[in-house]
Amino acid sequence: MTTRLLPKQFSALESFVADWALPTEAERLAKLTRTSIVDLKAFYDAMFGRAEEMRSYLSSFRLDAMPDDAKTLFDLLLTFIETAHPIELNWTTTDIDDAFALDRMTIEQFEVVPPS
Amino acid sequence: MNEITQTQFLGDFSRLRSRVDIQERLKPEFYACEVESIFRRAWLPIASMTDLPNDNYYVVAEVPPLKTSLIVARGDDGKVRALYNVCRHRGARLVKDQSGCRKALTCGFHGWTYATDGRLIGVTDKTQFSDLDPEQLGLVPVHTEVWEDYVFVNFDPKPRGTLPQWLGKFHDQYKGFFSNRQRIASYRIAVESNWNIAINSFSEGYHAAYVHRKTVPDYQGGKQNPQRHRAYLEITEHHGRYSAQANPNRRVTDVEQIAYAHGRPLYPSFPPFSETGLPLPPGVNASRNENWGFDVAEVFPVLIWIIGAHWHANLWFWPICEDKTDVRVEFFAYKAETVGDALAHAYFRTRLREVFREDVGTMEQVTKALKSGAMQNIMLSRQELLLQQHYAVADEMLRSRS
Repeated sequence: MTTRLLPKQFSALESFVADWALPTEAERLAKLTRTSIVDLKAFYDAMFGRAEEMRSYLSSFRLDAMPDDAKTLFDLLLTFIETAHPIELNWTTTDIDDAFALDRMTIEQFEVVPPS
Repeated sequence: MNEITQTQFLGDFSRLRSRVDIQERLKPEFYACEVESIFRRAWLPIASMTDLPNDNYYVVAEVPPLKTSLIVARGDDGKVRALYNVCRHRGARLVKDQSGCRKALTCGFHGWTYATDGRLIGVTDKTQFSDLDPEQLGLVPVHTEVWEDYVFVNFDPKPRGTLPQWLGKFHDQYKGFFSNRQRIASYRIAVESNWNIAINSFSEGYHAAYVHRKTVPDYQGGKQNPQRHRAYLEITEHHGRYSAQANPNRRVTDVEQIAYAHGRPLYPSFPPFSETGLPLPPGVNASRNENWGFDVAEVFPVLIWIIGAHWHANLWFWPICEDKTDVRVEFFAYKAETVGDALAHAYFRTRLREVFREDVGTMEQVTKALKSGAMQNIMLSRQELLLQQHYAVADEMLRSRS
């Protein structure tokens, strides 16, 4: 697989791309629950201060027509948003004990912009 | 206002009971009666118009209690019909995919072809049949009605009432609310739980302080409403709904702030009702509570709505047998146009997904514990009146079986 690049101003975050720039909700959730809370916190801390800058950068593109590097950044940002809950809600693990088991749940994926 | 929130109750509660015999409902014989008296009689929402945007679109809808697969198709004439997914030649399953857009549906068994309005329009090697009348061999229809974004069916050969009668007060109170939405999440789970117990876990808010302490610890409650009483609770002839009150002093987390900064506020962000900037129909936040959080409604027997200003969730509970339920969940939100909207969607869907997983986590435990036979009845409080209503409506349909 070729290395996916981020737009130049975000290149400092490229070490996270392979693991965290994930295109679907199911992959983000699977990654979240197999990551330790310590490693999740490291990703969270690296992303947190730059999230607004990322949103601002991405807002110049149409949602359904991003160049490759912007799409990678978008996936990284969405993964950050979707995996922040354990850190922000002070969980001690990246999954909740009493919740229904993830491997018994089918997750369907939808386009960010629905086909018209 | 420093008063503790008291629930505003509306409806005729005289037939409700705070004690429900749950043991009898776990038996297969009882379930067989539920199938015949409830599922074969009620108007059932089975599909979404979102999936039928133009003529010749179709979706396949499985209706497990009736062991039935339906093709819900929008014909060339624009009309939506639910048709048994059964080829009239030898009974093969006609459509095998989940959805699509085609002018004609062809059976993979012997090539018989039907129009999307159900007419049989092609029989292969027709001369070999001695007495075949294609006009009598269209796909078998089920009574179908479209209401707002939902396609309802009724399996009763002679439905006892119309869909507007079935929906009652709800019918005119949600005009336009479910349209212009985008489906942003869908989950499906086969749960080892009785369907009543499954749907019960979503139609009261009494559990929220306990079950959801990890995911949404303070979205409801607060000084004015420490016991998290519903602000408003109403029952109609068949259905019920309540409004949950927001905690105005909720802690907003950092990423929630980022996620909703450039999109519209979604769960669990509940700005004052007057700031929603939307003309919401009268069924939504029916008491017009300024401190509104969200609504929950049970559209008896299978559907729960969770409703916010800019979003809603459909939760379906389809029984497979007396102790298995097919739980289908969909989250919808306003349509995304910007990256800010996409971030709002992503935050909303995942935060609510975890809350939902906690609710589903209770179903199997409860069903399993009750099956021990340790207790005969469950006890329901006034905050659980929608459960009392669920059982009252069910019992009335069971009794009226002719």
